Amino acid sequence: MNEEVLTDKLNFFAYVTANITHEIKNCLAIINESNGLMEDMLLMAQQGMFAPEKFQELINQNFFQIKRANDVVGRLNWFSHSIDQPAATIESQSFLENMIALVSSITAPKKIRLVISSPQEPINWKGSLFGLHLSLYLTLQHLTSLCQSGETIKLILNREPSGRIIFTLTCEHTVVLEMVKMETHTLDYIVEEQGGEVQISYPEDNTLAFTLSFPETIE
Amino acid sequence: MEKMKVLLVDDEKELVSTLAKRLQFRNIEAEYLTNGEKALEMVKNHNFDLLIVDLKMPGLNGIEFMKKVKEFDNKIKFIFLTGHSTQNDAEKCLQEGASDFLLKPVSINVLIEKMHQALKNKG
Repeated sequence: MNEEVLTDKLNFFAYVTANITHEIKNCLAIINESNGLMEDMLLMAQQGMFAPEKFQELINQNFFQIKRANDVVGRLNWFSHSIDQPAATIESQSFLENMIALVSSITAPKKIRLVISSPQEPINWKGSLFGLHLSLYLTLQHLTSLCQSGETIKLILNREPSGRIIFTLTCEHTVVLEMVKMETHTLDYIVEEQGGEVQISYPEDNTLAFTLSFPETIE
Repeated sequence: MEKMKVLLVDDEKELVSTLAKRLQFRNIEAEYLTNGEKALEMVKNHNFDLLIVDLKMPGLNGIEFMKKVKEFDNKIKFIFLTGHSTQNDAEKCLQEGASDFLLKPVSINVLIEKMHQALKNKG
C-alpha cells in the first residue's frame, strides 16, 4: 500500500471520529443547558412560579439527547469493528443508514442534498465494510468538491443480474473527465482492493457519474 | 443599566433555544437562529452587542459569518461556542477577530463572564 492510500485511510478514520465526537459534544451541551434551565426553574419554584409542563419538556429533551448520543456511539462502534472483518455480510438498508449518518457532514457545509435510492427489498452481499465505506466517502468527497452549493448528489444502489453490486453516484457537472480521473488514485486502489472497479463518465449532459462495481462475494 | 443584547447562532436548535432562555433569566436579551444566512440578515437589522456562534454550521460557517458581519459592523463582538476543539480552529477564530473561543458544554457563569469581558473592550 502506498503512502497516499495509507494517509487517506487514516484521514477517513480521523474524519469519522472527529464528526462523532463533535455530535456527542452537542448532545452533552444540550443536556447541560437543559439541566441548567431545570435548575433555574427550581429556583423560580421556590418563589411560587413553577411550570411542570416546561419541566417535563426539558426532561424529554434530555432523554432524546441521551438516545441520540447512544445511537452515535453505536455507529462509532459499528464503524470501528468494520475493519475486523475483511469479508462481512452487508445488508443494504442498515449499511446505507449508517453510512449516510457517518458521512453527512461532507455534504452539509455546502448544503448539498444527498438523495438515496435502493431496491425496496434489502440486498445482502459479502464485502469489506470498511473498504466500502471508504470508497463511498472518497467518491462523495470528489463529487462534493465539484458541486455548487445547494445542488443534489444522487446515490443509486442496485444489484446486477450477474450479482455484482453497483453504486452509482451522480451530480450535475461539466468538468473535463481526465481532470476528475487524475484525482481518484486512492479511490481506484481501494475499490480494486475489494475486487471492484470504478468508472467515471458523463451518462447525460451536465451529469457526472461515478459507478462503483463490487463482486457479490469477496474472498 | 442597559440590557446586554445577544444573538446565538448554532444549527443545534435545542441548544440555542435553551441557552437563550437561561440568558433571559439572567436579564440578558437573548435571541437565537439556526443558520448563518438568516442570522446575517437579522444582525443587519438589529443592534446586537454580541454574537455567540458555532464554528461548524451548514452553509455559512462561523468564521465566514463573522467576516461578513465585520464588513458592515466592526464593533460587534463574537464568542465562538463549539464542539470543535483543535488548536488551529481556536487560533483562526481569534486571529479573525473573535473575542473568545469556548468549548461545549460550557458553564453559564463562565459564558456570562466571557461575554462581559468581550464587551469591556467594545469601542
